[in-house]
Amino acid sequence: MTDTKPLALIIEDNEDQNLIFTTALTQAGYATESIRDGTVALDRLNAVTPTMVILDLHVPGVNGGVILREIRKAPRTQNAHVIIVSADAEFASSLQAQVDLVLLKPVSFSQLSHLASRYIKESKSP
Amino acid sequence: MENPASVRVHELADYLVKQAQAHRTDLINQYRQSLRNNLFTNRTEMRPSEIGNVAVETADAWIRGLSQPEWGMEYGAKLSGLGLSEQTILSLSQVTRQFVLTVVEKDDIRQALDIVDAYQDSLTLGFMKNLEKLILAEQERIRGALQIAIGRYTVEIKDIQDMAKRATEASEFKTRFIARISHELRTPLGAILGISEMLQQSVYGPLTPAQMDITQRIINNTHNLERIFTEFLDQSQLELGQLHLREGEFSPQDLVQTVYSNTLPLALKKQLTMNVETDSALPSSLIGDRARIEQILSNLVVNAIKYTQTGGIVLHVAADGSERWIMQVKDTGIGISKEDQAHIFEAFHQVDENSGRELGGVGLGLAIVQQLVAIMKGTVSVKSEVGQGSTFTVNLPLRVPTR
Repeated sequence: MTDTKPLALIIEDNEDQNLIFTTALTQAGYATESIRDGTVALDRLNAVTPTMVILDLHVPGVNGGVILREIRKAPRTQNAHVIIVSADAEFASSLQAQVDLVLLKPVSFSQLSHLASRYIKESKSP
Repeated sequence: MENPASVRVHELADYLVKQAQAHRTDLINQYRQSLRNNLFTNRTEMRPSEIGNVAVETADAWIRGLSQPEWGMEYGAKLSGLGLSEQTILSLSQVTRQFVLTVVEKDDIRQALDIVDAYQDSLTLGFMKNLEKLILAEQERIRGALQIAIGRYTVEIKDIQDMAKRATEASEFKTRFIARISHELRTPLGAILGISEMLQQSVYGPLTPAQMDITQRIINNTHNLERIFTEFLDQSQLELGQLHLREGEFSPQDLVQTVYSNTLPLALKKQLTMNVETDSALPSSLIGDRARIEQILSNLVVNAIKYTQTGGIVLHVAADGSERWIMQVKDTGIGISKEDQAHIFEAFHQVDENSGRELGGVGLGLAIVQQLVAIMKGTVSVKSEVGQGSTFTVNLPLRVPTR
């Protein structure tokens, strides 16, 4: 086990939701980075190596489907855990096969926090 | 009377005309009498007083018509214009023929017959032509009237179609509006829920028991609100035909257990008993949309608890032959009258407006159950008597995974 915390990107444009997801991931033990715009998300994905991405599908700039494609394309990020958080059940379920989990909004803080701790244990003990 | 030994047809005609003109008055009187004898007895359409006029005209007509057959046409047209029938005109021409022949010497009869025939033919032709004209005019009139009627009808149909289109659009707009709003409401709802949970989990410092209790109340109410929005969204998607099933493998026994565990606290709160009965013949793995089937059973159980004050609820799942399976929810509640049974599956219907208000809910639970069951090609039915409890039975197609 290292001291460096694994990185989680929280891509969600709603400020309150972003705060909740970020807090849940922080509590689970991740270093977190809040992103509220799709274009910024693509930029950051070129610069950092997250092990977890919390992805809202409807963000300004570039939609979540495109961001997910980019994550799965780049060798550096393709193995990252991705949890979709969305109220758009149709869109989310069409992407289900490419992600670890789909959570339909409203997402429970404790549920997300609990799930994130499970993934962090996995990534810490390969 | 002069005897024209052998003359040609047109000369004979001239002769006949001259004869006729010379004795016009006598001829007319005689002709009138002939007509009276021949027509009056069996022609109801012609009054005796008219016979005289017709006779004068007809006598003139044949006098002129014998030498000028085209005049026969004109007269025929006139007669048909008077509204006389073809039968009458034929009779008239028969009388004329006989009458003409009485004034012709017997040697000339053959030629006179030809002249009279030509006259008769042109008379009939005039009648037919005029009739044809009348028929064409009538057809034209009918066609015009029809076109106007069709035009009006088309406009009306278009109006009705427009109205129907507007009604459909309005209804769809309402449904889409509800879908969008319920969707929009989820975002702030999610924030309220998440923030309350963060408070409860002491993310912002420890809470006193009273603060903890009040936070729990926020969370409970948010969950209630979420359930209502979910029902609105489900209902609008069902109305739009946009609710799609996500089928997979599931265990009906697990499903019943989940619903049991989730609803048990509600039943215990009202001191009701709750039991699960599972049929050993029911396969442990089926194909279906587990979340939606769970929603169906859960709605029925929550409803049963809502309308039961004493006694309890039994959840029963069983195979129904090899191709169907059933989920049954029996309660010892207030029961449902026959009249109400007819409406309980309608959206926004509640058996008792007052008790509905007291017990909560927007009246979509059973409507959603029925619509979900329908898209699963199943049926839902109820057996109940007032005061005797109710039994809801959902019957679904049974499909097992192929190995």
